[in-house]
Amino acid sequence: MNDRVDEDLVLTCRQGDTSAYAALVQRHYRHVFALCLGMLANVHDAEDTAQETMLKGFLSLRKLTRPEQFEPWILRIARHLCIDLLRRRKRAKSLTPERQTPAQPSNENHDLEGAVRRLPQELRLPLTLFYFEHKDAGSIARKLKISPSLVYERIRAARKELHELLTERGTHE
Amino acid sequence: MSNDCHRFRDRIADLVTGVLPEPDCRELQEHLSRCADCRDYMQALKQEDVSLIEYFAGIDEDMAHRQERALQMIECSHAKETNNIPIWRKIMKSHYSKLATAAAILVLAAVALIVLDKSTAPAYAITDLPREFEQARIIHLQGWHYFPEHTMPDGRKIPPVEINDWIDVENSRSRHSGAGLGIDSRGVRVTVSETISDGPYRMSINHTDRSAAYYRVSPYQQKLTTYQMSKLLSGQLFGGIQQLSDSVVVGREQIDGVAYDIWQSDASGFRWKMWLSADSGKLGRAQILSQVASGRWELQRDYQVIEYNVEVPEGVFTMDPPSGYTTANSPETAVLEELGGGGGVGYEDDQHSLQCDIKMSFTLSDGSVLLGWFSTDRGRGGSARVNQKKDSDTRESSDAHGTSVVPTEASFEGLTFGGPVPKLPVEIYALKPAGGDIEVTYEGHHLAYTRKGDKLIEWSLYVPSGTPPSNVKQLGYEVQYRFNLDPKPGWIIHMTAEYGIPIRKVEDFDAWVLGAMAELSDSGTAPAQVTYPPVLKLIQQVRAGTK
Repeated sequence: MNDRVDEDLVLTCRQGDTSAYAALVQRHYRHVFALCLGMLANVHDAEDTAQETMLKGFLSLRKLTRPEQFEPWILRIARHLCIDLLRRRKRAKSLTPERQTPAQPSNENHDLEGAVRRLPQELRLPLTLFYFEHKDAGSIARKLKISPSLVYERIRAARKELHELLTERGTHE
Repeated sequence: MSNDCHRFRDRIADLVTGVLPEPDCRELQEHLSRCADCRDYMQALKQEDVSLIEYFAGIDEDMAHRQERALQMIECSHAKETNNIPIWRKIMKSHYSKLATAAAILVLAAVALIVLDKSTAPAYAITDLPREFEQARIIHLQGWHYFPEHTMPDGRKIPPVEINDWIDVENSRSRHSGAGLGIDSRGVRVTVSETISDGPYRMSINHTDRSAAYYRVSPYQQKLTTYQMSKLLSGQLFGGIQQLSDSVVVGREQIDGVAYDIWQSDASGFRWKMWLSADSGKLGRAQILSQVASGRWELQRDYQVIEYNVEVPEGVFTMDPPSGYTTANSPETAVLEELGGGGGVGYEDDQHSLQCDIKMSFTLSDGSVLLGWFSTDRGRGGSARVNQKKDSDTRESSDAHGTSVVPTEASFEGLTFGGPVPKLPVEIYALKPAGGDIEVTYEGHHLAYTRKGDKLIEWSLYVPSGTPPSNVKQLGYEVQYRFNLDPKPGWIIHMTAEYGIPIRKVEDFDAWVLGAMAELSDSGTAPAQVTYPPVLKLIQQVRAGTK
């Protein structure tokens, strides 16, 4: 079981063998990154926040009351850091005058990237996890603490919204 | 766009996601057959699906480096922390600070307990079981295999056979017990066998005949055997994800003082029962039952020990046959096994001696399939006779024994990456999902070919015309072929291709697909034109209708 492996690794790390934390990073970094990407819609911010999450996890590992619950715990840290960053962004935006976004080169992936970024977070997050989690709705549901049917509902809505955004852009150009 | 179309747009999105139930799928297909707008919409969503796969795969490619950077940062931070006296230690030198900090810690701990207690609600997800199984370094399963549907000729029950399976992923070692039923002149016969793999050797033991034989395997095959063994055991133990996610709790039981929830799910005449610890979600026991003719559920497999990452007892992977067993050969005289089976499927009549084999199969994230296959016709008698050149495709000879059509390098001349597959004696031009009535066809495209000894292996990509049904993972694909032979054989061959190894990212592609191509090539390298990005691009072009 994953939880059992995590539990062993957390306990080993707490006993002073910090290499066990490297194994925890290897096991969970991808999920943390995907969550950050889904919430922040920016690869660089997602990487920074995922890094910060793993570091924070390392520094506060002793606070983890149930070592077998490492994954939900580290994902919760990531979620809080993302929320903090989004709040900071919002504050920074309200303090600086609106700036025109420079036009992106006409490249399909840029269009897609822009459209994914413009999706509301509640749709973008399940969609991102869907492609990162190899389309496993059960796993996404567990991470987002929602039902698998709601995951599918949101992915359906995300696809439709994304198509609208992409075709809207296409007709404007 | 009609009102009807609005209703169907949700279903199209579900179809692209791969979650549309079959009855809805049929209704949608009917609508699509008469609505060009919705067909275009579906095409656009599929195209966007491919673009999303590529987009996220592109981000995923750098994951290993990102992970590395995170680890470096943690290492740096840890080094700093251990070399410098942290500020809090300096503060703690004061007695007042100690008291104040202790009080603050108590308050914080109380708050944290309340917060953490509320937020650590999810204990486990049953759908994670297969992944956890496949991620384990060491797997040990022990239990019993029953034969509820069969009895001995005298009416006695067939005794159960012990299961004692081990997989050591990191060292490519595995031990798998098997049991099969056969009928001979003495009646129903149970054959108990075991396969033990350790590094470059594999030993096959037949406990019924008390015999053993050795095989030699390449590093790629060692990895493949471990992978396949893990998949096989995971499939036997858990069934499919869909059925697992439909599990419901049907009871609670104590095993060795630990409380377990009993989860149950049914699919295709089988019932899975899983004992999961109510606290940690640890799997304590698993049973697989089958529905017999009378409708009753009878126990088929009972796994009483399910352990991960435990110490492997000495002798588990020993390559010595049990005492008193006869051996066909020794590790020193064992021959290297050919990847994907040596023989393939043979068909013979008075004109043809046909051999056709699918050596390897892979399924990509979008549902496209990559196959390595070959076919040849040695004419009657089966001897390889390659004589005069008939055309650019094949060479053939005719004599009293029939016609042989043995592919040569010329059979692959003029083929282009993404173009039609070669016209070999048996031409695998398309695939269909096996066992399903969903109208999806996987059109074949040539990627490359390799030569291994006297065999020329074609590597083709098959791109689905729609969303494949979710059961392709279990049932695989039905091969669509045509004979390029004169006269054409009067019989029909039935071939299926397995779902094979899933390819999710560039690392999978390089390790499994290019690894197989290199293994099935005299040069020991994969054809240069086959890499992951052009294959993804080809899929995109085929889906967009530009190829």
